[in-house]
Amino acid sequence: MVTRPKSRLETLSERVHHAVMTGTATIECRNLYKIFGPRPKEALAALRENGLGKPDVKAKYDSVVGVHDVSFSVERGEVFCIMGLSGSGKSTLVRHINRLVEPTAGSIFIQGEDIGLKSRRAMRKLRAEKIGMVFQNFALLPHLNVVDNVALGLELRSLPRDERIATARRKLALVHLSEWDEAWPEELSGGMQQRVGLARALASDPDILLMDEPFSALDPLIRRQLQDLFIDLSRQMRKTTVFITHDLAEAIRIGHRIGIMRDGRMVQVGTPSEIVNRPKDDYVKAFVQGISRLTILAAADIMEPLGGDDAALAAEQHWPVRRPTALLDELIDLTAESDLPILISDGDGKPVGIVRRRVLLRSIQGK
Amino acid sequence: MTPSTDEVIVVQGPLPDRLRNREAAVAVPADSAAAAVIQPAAPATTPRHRFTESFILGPVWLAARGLWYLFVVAAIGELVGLVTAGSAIRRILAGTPGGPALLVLGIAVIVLLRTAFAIIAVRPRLLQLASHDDAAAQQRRRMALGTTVLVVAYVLTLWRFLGPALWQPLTTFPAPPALAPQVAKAIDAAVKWAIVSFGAFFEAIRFCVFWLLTGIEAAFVVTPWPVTVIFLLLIAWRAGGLGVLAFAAGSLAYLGLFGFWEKSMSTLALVATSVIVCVAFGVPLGILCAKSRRSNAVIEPILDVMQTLPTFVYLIPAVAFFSIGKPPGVLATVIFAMPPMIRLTSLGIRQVPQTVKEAALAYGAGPLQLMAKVELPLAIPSILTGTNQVIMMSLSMVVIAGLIGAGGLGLDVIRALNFLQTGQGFLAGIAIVLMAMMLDRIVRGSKNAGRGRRQ
Repeated sequence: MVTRPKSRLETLSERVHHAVMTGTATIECRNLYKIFGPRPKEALAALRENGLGKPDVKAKYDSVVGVHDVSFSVERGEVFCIMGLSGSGKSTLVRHINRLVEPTAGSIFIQGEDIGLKSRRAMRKLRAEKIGMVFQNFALLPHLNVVDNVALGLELRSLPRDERIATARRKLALVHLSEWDEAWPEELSGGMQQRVGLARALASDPDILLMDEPFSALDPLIRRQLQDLFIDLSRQMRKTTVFITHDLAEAIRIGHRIGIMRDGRMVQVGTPSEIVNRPKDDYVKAFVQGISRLTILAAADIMEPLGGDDAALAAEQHWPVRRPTALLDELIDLTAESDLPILISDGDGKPVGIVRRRVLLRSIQGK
Repeated sequence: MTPSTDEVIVVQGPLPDRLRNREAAVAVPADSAAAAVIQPAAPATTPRHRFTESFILGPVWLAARGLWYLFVVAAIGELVGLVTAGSAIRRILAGTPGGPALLVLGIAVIVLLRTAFAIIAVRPRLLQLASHDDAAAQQRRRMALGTTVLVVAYVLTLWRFLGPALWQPLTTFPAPPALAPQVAKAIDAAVKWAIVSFGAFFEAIRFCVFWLLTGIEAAFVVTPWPVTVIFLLLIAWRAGGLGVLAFAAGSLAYLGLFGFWEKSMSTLALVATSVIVCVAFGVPLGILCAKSRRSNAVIEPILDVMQTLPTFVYLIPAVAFFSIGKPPGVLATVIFAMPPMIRLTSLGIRQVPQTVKEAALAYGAGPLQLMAKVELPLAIPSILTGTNQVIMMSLSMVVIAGLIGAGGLGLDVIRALNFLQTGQGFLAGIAIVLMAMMLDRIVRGSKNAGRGRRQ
């Protein structure tokens, strides 16, 4: 099981806030709207001013609201997951970031630059050099072999053949496909094809990765393997990533923060533990219900305040002691071996809370 | 027989059905002229009722349910029966023999037809028909249309076959006698004007085609035959392996042994020229069609005309514009053979998966790169199929091009036709067939070879 750097958990929201305020966010979307249909501007006005809902816009303007007033930002090196059911607008949203889809309103900043102002040529350069994208259906070019597929972005930048092949081979090694460089895409299994897709996205060493449900089309075992591979690579490379998924468990495994989308709106943004602990509405609650909390919740999320003589009692009975960042998984190990409560103390050894068996069990249940 | 309202209401079945029927029956305005025929068409009743009502109404019943194709079939069938019965009555009145038998036949046709359609009405699933028991108002409109059509068709037809001489414009289409000749004359004048005004333009085209053709022909005809054979066999082998090699060797042997070598090489040159022209113009036009809906809307009907207009129709102006000889032969061939090139190129490009194109765009491809590195490579199989079609159609045009002096194997066929030499005609015909098959195998082989690369 992969564990996230624990210190990140609590401070990330603050750091993102800081990043946005100081303009160091890698990706920032401000009040994005995307409306598909014959009269997007009118539909937009209706949406903004009259507060029409998605079905009203469909009925009145024959337009579909893809993205509805979405703002978020992604810090450098952060993995930001966007979770939602199909049709919630998440794939449309991610295509705004490299302008495969033009917003109806709103703006997108990448490393501080408004990409809406960029020329086509500049936009192509940005896509080729700074953004790698992975697709749900792999989208490999069937007439190119594996290594040429990986080198696609480099070829489009007209790099010399030797150079791009050498780079492509290095990236193939990262995804453990060195042996398959001369194979054709159709000869590979789905999981292998997506590893090629991942290598292709990494080929030009971009700052940003856009992952559009990359593992959804794979069977569960392979999906797990690829998630691990991705988490591994992501830790090494620290690419700023926007990761689309319809699976909250996947989002929790992979993301530093998660944005939950519904009907084109971003319903809630937060760290996995924020989402699981404090779902904003019933929609999010329904998703969170089935999620295992063992590796999401930490002692700090569930601990109770110390009673008057708890500290003395703890010292006397030799209660086990853990930091506030200890995950439920670890606390369960302790509770399974002993009947004593667990004392939670901070970095300086000062007791800050207590976790008793009842609280622990209830929080596993999600109550 | 028209069931009264009472009968409609007193139907078997669950209560809701009965209530529905009562409402439907009441909903029909009693004063309308159509009311009498409307009531039977009210929503589902018993099978027996359905059978009777559709038997009595015949085609009109089908019309009411929107089964217009069946309506036409039924009406034509009934007309045959009616005309037969009518002429039988005439015979009986005139005392000619055979009258009663014909009468029975005519009535039998009508009864059988109505029975057949009544069975369909009871069991619509027999013909996989959806239930067409629609709203009464819609049924009424359809019924009115069906009845009108029937009345006009029956009256005019029966009158034509049985009655006194019909008003003449109804039997022959009233064509203004001067229209066609005048328009034809106008076209003649336009062609003449074009020849005079754009003579230089047509001469330039003729010149280009002539030099292209002459160059290729020289390569094929002047080159010593063993050299040509070796090259052709090498290509055949590389494209399709030993099988195609053997077939090509056999075909070439036939061409040589029966004295068609020179002519077949000249035909090959003609075909090669037209293929080059077709690919050079067809692929870009195909791309244009795939990319722009508007150009597609313009080009598509032109292609239909090029493919279906009888060759001889444009062979005459081709001679007028380009005189006789090989260049107009090539141009006529190009007109005939280019449409599949354009269509298949366009198809090949349109069927490139959107996801693959999106991937290329996401990695920074521009429009030209998208075309060169993704769309065209993925359209190659389709383009090769188009090339193959062009070759086949060019070869089938060879004979007709021979009529205007394009020479080659076509000339032999034409000559055999003129002198009624069946044997000579067959030999030349088989030469064309063998050449076509040889080229087909080679092109198809190279297409498969391209795919085989991946296995």
